Amino acid sequence: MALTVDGSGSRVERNTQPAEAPRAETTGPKPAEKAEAAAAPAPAADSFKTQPNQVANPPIDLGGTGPANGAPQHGNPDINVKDSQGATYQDLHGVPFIQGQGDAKAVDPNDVSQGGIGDCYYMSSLATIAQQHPEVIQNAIKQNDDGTYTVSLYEKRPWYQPWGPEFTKKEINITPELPARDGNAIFAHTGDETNGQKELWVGLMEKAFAKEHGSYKSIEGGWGNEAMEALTGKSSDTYSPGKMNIQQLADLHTQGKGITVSSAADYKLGPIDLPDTVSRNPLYKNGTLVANHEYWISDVDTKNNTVTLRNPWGYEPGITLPFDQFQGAFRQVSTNPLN
Amino acid sequence: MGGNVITVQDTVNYRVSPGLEIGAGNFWPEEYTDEKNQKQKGMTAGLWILSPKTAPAREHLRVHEGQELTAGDKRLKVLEIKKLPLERAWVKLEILP
Repeated sequence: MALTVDGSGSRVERNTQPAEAPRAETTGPKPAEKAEAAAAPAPAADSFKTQPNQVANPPIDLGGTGPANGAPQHGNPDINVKDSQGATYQDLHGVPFIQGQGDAKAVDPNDVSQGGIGDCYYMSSLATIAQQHPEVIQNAIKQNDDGTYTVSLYEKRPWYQPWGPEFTKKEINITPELPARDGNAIFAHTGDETNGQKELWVGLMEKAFAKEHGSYKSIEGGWGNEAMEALTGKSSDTYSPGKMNIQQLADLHTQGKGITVSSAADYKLGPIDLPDTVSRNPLYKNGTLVANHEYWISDVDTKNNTVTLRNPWGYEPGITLPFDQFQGAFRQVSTNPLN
Repeated sequence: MGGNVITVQDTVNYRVSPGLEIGAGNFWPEEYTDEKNQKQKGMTAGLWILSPKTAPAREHLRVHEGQELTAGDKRLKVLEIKKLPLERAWVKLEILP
């Protein structure tokens, strides 16, 4: 459980993320400091990282209901969450991948649209992978002759077990049906459509993740660094935005790393709204940003000193912020090498 | 309640119908002016509405209990905004007939 007094955040339910970083870390540098930072050589790669993930966050437990011996299991994960009234598993007449108009490849970040469940961290991770290395997702979904799918995810070695491989591949067998109401997916939405067929890859990846955790409810709340590890089997790094400069962020993006970012937490004590970044920052007050949410970074522009973020809700154009505003509004940058 | 009631949780994006989606977030108590022009203090929430009128952008509104609003071609009434300890906040909306 995170140290938030109020537990409503999108990722507070099964993490031990420390309380929000000290104000000095999340406030953008003053102009003189920015000029100094720009002139200074980039620090050593590790100097602006936060503590290793194992300390801040326990690893995602993928050991729940998956097949113990690799044998396929066809049971569907439970779909009972607050917003799922009337939903059932339905055949949406889809195929895993469709290259829609404007898509660079069949697996495209525009396919991602989070639905009625709080797994923004997982949706943002899928979107950044779709942008940087779509083949990772394409290779993770295998269609079987019996109409089912086998999805590959990775289980991270628990922090208390210092031996063995860091990641173990898990193959999760799922049926093609997805939670839906009147033929419309209620959690991850379907992507492109052609000839009456819907693109399913986002919903299939979400279903496999939910099945490994036992239910859809159990994947509400999480962090991008953990989700990208579960998707790639590679170790993630986390950074404090206030301790980075834009060149470091741009380098991570240029290197093809997946990048998700966690917006500020909104702290409450019962009915009292505690003073925090959310209550002070106009980007939350005016609705530019959603608190307790995971976004992904689609572009870093060092010439104009801006960062473009995308909301995993989908459809909407990116949000482009000056770098100092980005630093002041977000609390964690998560990156993963992806391949 | 004559219409359908939907619940939209904090940071999720609820598809009301094809083309109409409502995201919710930024739940906090604050002062607002109610429908009778009276100052009130209570829970409010942000809604981000995607409809054919606004796509691909979303319209952002801050809402309070009792408020009626238009989302796409639908009229909605805010029935309840709740933020309980150890639970994800939510807003309950009635789709008016």
